[in-house]
Amino acid sequence: MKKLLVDQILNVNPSFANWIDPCIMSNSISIHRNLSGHNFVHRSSIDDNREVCSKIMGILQSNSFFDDYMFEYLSEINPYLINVLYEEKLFHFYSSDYVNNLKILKNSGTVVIINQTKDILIEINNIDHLTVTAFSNKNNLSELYHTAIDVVNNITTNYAYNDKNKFLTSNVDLHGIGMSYSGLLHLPGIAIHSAFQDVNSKLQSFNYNIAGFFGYKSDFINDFYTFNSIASYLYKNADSFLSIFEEATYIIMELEKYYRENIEDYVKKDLIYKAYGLSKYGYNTSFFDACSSLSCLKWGIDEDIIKNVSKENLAKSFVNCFPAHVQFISSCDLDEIDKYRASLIRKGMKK
Amino acid sequence: MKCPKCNKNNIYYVFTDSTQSPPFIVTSCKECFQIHFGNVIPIGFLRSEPVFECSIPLKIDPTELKDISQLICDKCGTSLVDIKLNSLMGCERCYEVFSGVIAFVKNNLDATLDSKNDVQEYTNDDNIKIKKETLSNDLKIAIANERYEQAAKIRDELQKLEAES
Repeated sequence: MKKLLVDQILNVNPSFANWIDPCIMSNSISIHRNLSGHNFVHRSSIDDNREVCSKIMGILQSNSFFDDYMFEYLSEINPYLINVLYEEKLFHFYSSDYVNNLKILKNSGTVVIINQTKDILIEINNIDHLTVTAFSNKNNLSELYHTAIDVVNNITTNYAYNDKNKFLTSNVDLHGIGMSYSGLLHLPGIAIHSAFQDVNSKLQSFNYNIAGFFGYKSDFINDFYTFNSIASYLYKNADSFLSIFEEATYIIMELEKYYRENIEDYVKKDLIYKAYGLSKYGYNTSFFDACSSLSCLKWGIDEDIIKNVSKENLAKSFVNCFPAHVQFISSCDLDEIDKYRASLIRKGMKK
Repeated sequence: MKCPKCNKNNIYYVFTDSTQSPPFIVTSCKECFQIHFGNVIPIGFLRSEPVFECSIPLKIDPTELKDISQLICDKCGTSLVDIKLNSLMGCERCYEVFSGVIAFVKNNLDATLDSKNDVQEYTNDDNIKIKKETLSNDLKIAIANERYEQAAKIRDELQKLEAES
């Protein structure tokens, strides 16, 4: 394994930059495991956590499967970069307490490991001893699960397991299959129609176990919504878990398609061209404005209205407009963030 | 009840370690307290109802802990209060010690598993509760974004729901 370089953290995930479906920005499946015989991270001493960390790192470094992976100890990353990493995870992650936790985790031998294409993330000692997350821009969760479980299977060790509760996790909601799902969806149609109540009730009538929708225990930014699983112990096996969330995402995508079709053409074009103007000629852009305009621009690219901005540049602008990214890239003061954000977005407005 | 840190002396202090995030409840003997927490002034918790707080470590007789000792994991010192606070188990053994608590957490989610579909089923009360929470969130967001027309609509819906329930 190699050391993770700053440039590699800042590179936009290729799958994120070439979205296939207009609604799905990113889907992720996380597999949570703990080592047998050790207390869980928040209940063990720093020495114990370091022992777990070196044990897992030893396994990873001795397996050629992980040769192309890059690692970094959290204690060796500067504070700015930790925030950058958090923002990268915001696109997939389920907890806003993450940054607070980092203060504790930093001394606990926490390691972040990513692969070359940034679609697999391995975390050691982050709430659970081992968390493997696979990302994709497709609504094919079975494929995603197989990618993640393949990584877990290559880390051969004894995991905390008993016949009654199956895989044992720190978070009591995740024991059993030890899995969680998180998706980032782009839903401007539903947002414009303020139709989240309808969507929520429709999904409830299908008996889906859904939380994290429309700000309910979740992070959300304008038209971008995180959509999370809770209580995976309710599911008998991985297949039933995956099929439920795959279908739930499919229903949301269909609803979004319906609502987008029901927007007047002039309203749509007005929003998209205004967003284009703001992005191309803005000199002082707040985070909220940036997300609104980039959302509309993405919609414009999906509808083939905006032709002179590439998907990759837009994805890069979307990632770079987050506060820690702006601060890290431009080394500016806090009160100058809006100015530099505008310049970063202006630079991205090209094919 | 032995101190989980040294496993020799009896527990003397039971308190919330507020230096940790999220804070969790710690049990400790006198010696271990001096070694590990000598410089902090924790907020004390007594592990029987009603729970109350104080600004200095709470000194309690170890015999008082006897009746609730079964609710403390003998391996990692995790208590029932810890699990109620943050839904986090401390070790593998916790799953045996708190096997009843897992059922409590499941009940706390107000959900039952539909064995046919492998999904949980919400009752009408749950639906109303979730709708109310979602609407209150929406209301806050609408007010924060100065969308007063939308906020008024949401407020009306909330009032309607409250009247129904």
